Amino acid sequence: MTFFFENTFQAKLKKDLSYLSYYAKARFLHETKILRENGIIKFENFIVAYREDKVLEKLVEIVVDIVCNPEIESLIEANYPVLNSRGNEPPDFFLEFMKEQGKPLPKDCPVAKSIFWEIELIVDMIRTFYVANTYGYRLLTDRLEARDLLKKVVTLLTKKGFKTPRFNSSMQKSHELGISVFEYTLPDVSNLSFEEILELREELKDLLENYRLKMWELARFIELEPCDVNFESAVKEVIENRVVPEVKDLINKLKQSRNKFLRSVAEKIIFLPPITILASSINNFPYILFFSTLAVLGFEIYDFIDFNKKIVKSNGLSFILKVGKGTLEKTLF
Amino acid sequence: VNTKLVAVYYPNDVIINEKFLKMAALYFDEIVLPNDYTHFLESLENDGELRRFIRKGDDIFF
Repeated sequence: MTFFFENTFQAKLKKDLSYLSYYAKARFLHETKILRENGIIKFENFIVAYREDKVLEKLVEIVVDIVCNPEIESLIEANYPVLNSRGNEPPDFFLEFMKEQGKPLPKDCPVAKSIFWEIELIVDMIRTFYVANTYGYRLLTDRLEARDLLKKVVTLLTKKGFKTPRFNSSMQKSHELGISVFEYTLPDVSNLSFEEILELREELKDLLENYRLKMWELARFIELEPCDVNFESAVKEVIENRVVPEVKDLINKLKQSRNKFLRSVAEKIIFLPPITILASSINNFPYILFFSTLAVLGFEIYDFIDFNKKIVKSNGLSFILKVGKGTLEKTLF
Repeated sequence: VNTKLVAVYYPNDVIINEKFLKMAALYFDEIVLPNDYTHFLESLENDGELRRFIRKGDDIFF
């Protein structure tokens, strides 16, 4: 069972969709240029906010403005090449961007047609991510803070009276599912040296094997379980009843051990507050956590997605349907 | 059935998140790093034991 971390969806699309991150960046720059030219976003304000230590608030405003304001949407659309009418050819701003990067696209770009269909589906999320990532990268290194940001976005949306499908209940639910899957607690061992970790790995061999087995079972469960209305609670139940007990055993063994070494490392290990291994490794916006979550749930997830296309599409994840077959099979098996 | 847990890590940055690596080293059977991080693996020369369960990404990605 393979678990993917960090930049997951970009990583798994690495070969076929190697232009994805460039495209997202190009599109972000293109859009912010339009918005700036139209006086909608004043980055000077952002600098002021930075000085006043209100970056997060400003960030939320920018995210809300870009993602949710229908006027901005139409402005962007008006300034956008309509990809479909051009036969999915790369838009000019992208070609120019790649040229500036010293990576000009070949005339007949074999990946272009396959990637742009995908990109259009996820670009809104990427756009949001890049806004956050560019201006608030360091702020978003903490999962709770990122989650908090999302909540603020939703609150602001509600206050502004936006009813955007991008934050509908289904999406919210998916976020919750993604986050809840990783809310089992893992003791944070980052204070230990690599030598200590290796020794710990050996000392706790049996318990760690149990834990890994439960994690594996969890991934299998998720693979097999149909994604119905009870899916989320079923996953939570599995985590609580199968994974968390194994983690507790690990913690207890450390805390109560007569072994001098285990006791000494127990003093260095951070047990509280709960730390998720994903949170420690993902420094991005919740969307990325969400994507990564899907990946972590086992790439076989696309199998159950197959019979839940409607749900997946409503979450803007249709690209997984296309990407899943073939490339990911090769990746894993 | 292969029940091995493998953490495939594609860092956002040129610097590998040490915290992640330590966590993964304990909680996963294996870690796979991208090929570009060969230099990192080489720097682990003195941590031979750690290298035992770290692989380069070539064999897993396409």
